[in-house]
Amino acid sequence: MFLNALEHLLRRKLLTVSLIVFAVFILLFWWGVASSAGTTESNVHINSPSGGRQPVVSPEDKAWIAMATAGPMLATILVGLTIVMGASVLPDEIASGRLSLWASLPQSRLKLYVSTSLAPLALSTVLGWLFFFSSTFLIRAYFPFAPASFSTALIAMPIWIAVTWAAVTTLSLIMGKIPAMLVTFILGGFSATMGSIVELGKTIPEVGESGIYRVAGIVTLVFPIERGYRAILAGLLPTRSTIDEFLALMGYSGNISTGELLYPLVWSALLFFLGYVAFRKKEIQ
Amino acid sequence: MKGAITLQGVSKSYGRVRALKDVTVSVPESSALAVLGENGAGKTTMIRIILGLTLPDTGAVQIQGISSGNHLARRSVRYLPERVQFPEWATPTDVFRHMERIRKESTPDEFMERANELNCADLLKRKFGKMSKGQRQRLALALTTSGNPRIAILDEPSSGLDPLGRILVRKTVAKLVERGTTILLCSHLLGEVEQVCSHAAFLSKGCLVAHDSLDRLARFTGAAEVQTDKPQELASFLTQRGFVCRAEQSAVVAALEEGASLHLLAAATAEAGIPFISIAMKRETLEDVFMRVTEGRDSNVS
Repeated sequence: MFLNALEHLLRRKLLTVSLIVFAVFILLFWWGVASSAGTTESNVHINSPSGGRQPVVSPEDKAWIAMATAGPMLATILVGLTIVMGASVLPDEIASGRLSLWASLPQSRLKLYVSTSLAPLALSTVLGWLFFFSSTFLIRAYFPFAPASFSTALIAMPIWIAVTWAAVTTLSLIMGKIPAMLVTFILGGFSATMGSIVELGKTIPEVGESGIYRVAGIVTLVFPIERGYRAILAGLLPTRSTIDEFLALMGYSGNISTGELLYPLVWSALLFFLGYVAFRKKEIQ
Repeated sequence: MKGAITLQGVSKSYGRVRALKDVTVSVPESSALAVLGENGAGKTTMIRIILGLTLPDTGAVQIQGISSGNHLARRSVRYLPERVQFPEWATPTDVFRHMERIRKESTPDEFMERANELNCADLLKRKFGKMSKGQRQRLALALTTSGNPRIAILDEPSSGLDPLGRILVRKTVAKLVERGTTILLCSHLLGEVEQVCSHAAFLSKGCLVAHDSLDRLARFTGAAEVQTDKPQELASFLTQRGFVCRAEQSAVVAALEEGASLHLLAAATAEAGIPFISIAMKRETLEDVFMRVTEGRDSNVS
């Protein structure tokens, strides 16, 4: 059933459109990175927080800027794709009547649920690796730098996607696919914004002591969509650059602890189980 | 509970609408049971409950002694839904491969054999999206019944088929019955049901109004029929002998008390010296039974 669902997703026009958008994006990005590599700003300097004057655009800095620019765009494509695929895979199979054929076979509801709904997660994860790693390699071709930790980015990818996937899969079984898409999209955007405030709070004491910081902390716990994303970027960004000291408040740097990565994983597993509880009693037409 | 499939006090409601009300029915092993009823009578709901696709509000369902809530109960069950939907991009061979990964009951050769019987073996490599409804229906039946299934649940198997397709489906179902497959068949084609089924269950507004073998359900109509090429002459002769009768196109129908006076009619017919083909008690057709039990004229048949 997993292979069947995967094949079904692979044949959807949505995937083709996403790949075309990605191809257009990567070509434009390539053009931008290549153009940037040709410029020289050796006479431009900036005061660093640690004192002294440094050139503002070292190769690491350029790589940092390029990655920080590409990240949100790639994340938007990927989250959008995950939301649409995750929200439609089970409701569409049920509404079309196809699922009754599979559900009448000697397999448990759990197996049917897991094998069908894992397909969007697997596909989104593979696409995530493709999107982010190809962008990183492209940047490295022009601005040589050492990513902080490829393995962290590799592991963080399915964890980041799993949060969106588990939420949209479960909500689609409870409220239908369109409301599930909208709710997940809105919650995701809200939580990502709150995640930036959490990062700000870590850097600026005034923010860290404010009420909004506490609210942001709760929101990121309730819907932990952005920890994984920050872990991916933290893994792919250069080990050292000047600019990250200034832009840390945007949340593109900093260390993501194992606990911060494990929490969304456990959260996704629990929500996915809740989805199974809904699916177990669901009427299959 | 006995039988290949048994339902005990099954009820199901959708909001205020009661789709099934306290239905108790058993499908004997190696028999063919037709589930009949008007649209919305609860036939499809009953099938879905048997397959575990819908949970009943009350009651219990067992398939060969295993509760239908357990997926192992479906090991020996094949299901042909009323609305057959396959992925448009898939070929029948793809779907067969996917299904057999799970059910592990029949071989590609057996599938090919069944497809040949249903006159659709040439379509096995064609995508479902490029097939007509009738072609898809034949292939769905081939997928459902390949090999030697122990139980087959068929919901309107002749839906969307041309006359030849219907004949082929009927032959396939008859062959399954011969081999000992337990059949549960939903169909609005009562002629088809009469030819392949041994038992029938009638649902009306969610209630089981009759359930028995076809022989027991069909009542004696109070008449006998003599098949002959000269119905007018024979009818005149029998009337002179005191029978109340009428001539039809190729038969004479005579009013009769059940059993007792059939031999008198036979003797009178022989005395007339008019060639005849057969003499038989006239019983209700399935259509007559359907009209009788679903219109509520008789609720004590079972």
